[in-house]
Amino acid sequence: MRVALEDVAVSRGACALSCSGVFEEGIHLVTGRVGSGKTTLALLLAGLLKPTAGSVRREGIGTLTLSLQNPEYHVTEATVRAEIASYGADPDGIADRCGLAGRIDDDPFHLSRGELKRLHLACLFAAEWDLLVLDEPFSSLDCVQKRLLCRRLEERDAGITVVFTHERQVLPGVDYLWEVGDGRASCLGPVREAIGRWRYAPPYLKLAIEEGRVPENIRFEDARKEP
Amino acid sequence: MKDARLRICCTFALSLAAFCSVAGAALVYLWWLLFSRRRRSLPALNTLALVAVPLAIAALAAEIASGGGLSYFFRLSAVFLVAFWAYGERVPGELLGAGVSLFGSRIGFDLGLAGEMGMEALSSLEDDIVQIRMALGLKGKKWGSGMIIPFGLATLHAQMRRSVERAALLAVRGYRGGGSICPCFTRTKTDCAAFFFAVIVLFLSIASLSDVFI
Repeated sequence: MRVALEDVAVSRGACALSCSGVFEEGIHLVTGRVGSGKTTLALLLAGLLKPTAGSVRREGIGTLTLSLQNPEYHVTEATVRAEIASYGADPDGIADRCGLAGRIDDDPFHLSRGELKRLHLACLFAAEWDLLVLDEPFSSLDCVQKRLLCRRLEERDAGITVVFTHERQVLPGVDYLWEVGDGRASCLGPVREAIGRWRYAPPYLKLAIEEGRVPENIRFEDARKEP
Repeated sequence: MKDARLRICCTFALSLAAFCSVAGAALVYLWWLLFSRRRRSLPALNTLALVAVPLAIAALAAEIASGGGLSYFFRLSAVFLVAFWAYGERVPGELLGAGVSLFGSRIGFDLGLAGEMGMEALSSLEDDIVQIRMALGLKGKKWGSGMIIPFGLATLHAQMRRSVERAALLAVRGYRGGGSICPCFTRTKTDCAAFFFAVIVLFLSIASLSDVFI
């Protein structure tokens, strides 16, 4: 199971991006500045954008989905119950898991953005995806929910997960690091080898590296571990 | 056209000319051929269809009901062509500068700010529509009449949320009306020629041809 990008060039509005690389099974974390092309790459991986050059080959991928940055875009139903059902998930179970059991008959647009994001992500995690692309999944979530999301991501035992994020405090353990910048997306490599070269590393990781430690992964607790 | 003030004046003059008479609309088409970037001044084909189809239906209905539908379609198409040109040439922030330059730092600033926010809303609407359609596709929903209400609600909600955030931002920054800005405009000879011909087009569309040529 993998997604191979071969000399891909793509443009979306003012953003032009090129990329070559392979997304293998595991969790890939993609970082980059605002407007660098992360969403463009996410759309490309999910097959919602066609490359202007090169090719995107999805091998062994039967099911794929993408979580857009704004959860409101995904809403299609008039109640939380119907909204959960529209993903093919169990409404009562999901609402309970999200802490929204008491609001199951409310209009999804009456939920706060954080609640809506939580609901949308819970619906996605209720299904099995070979390729799961998450564009800014941590936005609008509080620290507790971010940690829960990290746990859900780490619990995924199969498939390719690609997380595009600006998050700098609560991060999951990942397998590969990618960077998007200067019109190019590139894989820095497996996480342990790549941490030292990661330009967008959160401050706690940079501090750990300055202190001579090489964290095994990018979680806060990894940076605090003694070698 | 680089000078936003000239562009606004051209837009008003040409829209009025196109709406006033069929001859005016014909001259506007000619002006558009001369001074626009032609294909690059037009939006994407589906956006163009979204505008042209309702216009054609309204024109057909008018033609059947009382006549004059063809003329209506011809004139309104010219107005939309000018609108597409003006929208395609815009640069973020210039309406604020043009507003202050034309009407001063009180009303002009407010008008410019309202114009900027309107333009930004239009621009974000394009993105909203694209992303909502993608989200529908991801859920396996087919685009059809059943999707009009969820699509409309999601679009409206996205716009309203953005408006609330923008209003809060203005309030936090202490906006109470009016403001100062020092706009700087550059213009080329082509800009001046386009403006001059737009005024001529307006004049010819309003004045009777016999008044002009005898």
